[in-house]
Amino acid sequence: MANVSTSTGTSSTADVIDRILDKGIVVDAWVKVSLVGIEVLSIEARVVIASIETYLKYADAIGLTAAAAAPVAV
Amino acid sequence: MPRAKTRHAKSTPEGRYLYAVVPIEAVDSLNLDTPGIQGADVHPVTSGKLAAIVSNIEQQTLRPERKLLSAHSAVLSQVMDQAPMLPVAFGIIADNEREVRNLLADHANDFLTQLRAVRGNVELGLRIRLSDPNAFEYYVNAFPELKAMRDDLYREGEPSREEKIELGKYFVDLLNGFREATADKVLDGIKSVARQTVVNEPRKESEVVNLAALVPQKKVDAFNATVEKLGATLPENFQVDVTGPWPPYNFTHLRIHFEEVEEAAQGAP
Repeated sequence: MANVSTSTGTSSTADVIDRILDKGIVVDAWVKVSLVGIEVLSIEARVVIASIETYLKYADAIGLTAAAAAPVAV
Repeated sequence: MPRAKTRHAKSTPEGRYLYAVVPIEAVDSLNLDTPGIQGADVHPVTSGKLAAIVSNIEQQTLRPERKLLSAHSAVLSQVMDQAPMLPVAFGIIADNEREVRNLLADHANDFLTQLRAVRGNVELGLRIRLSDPNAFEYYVNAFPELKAMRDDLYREGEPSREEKIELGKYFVDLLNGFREATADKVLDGIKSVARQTVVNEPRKESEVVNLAALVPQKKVDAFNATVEKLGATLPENFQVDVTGPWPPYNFTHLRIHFEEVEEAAQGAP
């Protein structure tokens, strides 16, 4: 049984950013946003896109689970 | 462009920061006392059957700072509570009020159609993530095939780069399948309480589902109850979060390119 927390009217900054930066009405010629501040966030969002580097990163993370699960060497 | 004009029009900024588009009949009773971007007064600009909710601003580039994002969101929340509305993305500034009126006039049909589609509904966000601190631990245990492959490759120390790529790829396929299956289960569960849904890309590995639902205002409680029920059928390592109500960001599809408008107006050269 999953833990469920339902809508309370509060919202995290991440959820706000997810919506307000590129969704809704966008008038291309009127966009006056400096993207410098959101670079990190957009990179994070792209982590999911598969690439060789991502594959390697995932493999390492999976490998670490083996190390964590391994019994202490005798 | 009237560049000279803006230079000595310092007292009242001519630029108009846009927040939302609402139907004209909502304007008279609209309370707009939430301060806008940089504390400016928020007011409507009307044209035909529509009004844009704006505030005055000097032409400038805005950084998506928390303070500005909150001001934008706060105005939208206030409008959303009072009228059907289409949200505008952050940082859209028109040169002057006339341009705003032209925008409303040129795209009146699109705005009105989309307003009809969202009227009486709110957007709710639904996100499912693993409550496990280590997402990979969870996946390795959830997918025996993945665990077997890991054990096979890591038995003799560090695997080769090729083997790692193969493992990573295998994981991505499993993860995508898992996400899709979970999203399908959720979509099936909420279909009676949501008018429309949009499945967005999860933000990180520990996130399984990230979707938005357009829900009739009257069904918000039913939606929450349905998600509670759905949660009971999901694994206990899942954390389900419903957020909102939001302005219908995921259900407003209007990206306006002026070039196209001009071409259409002028016809073939």
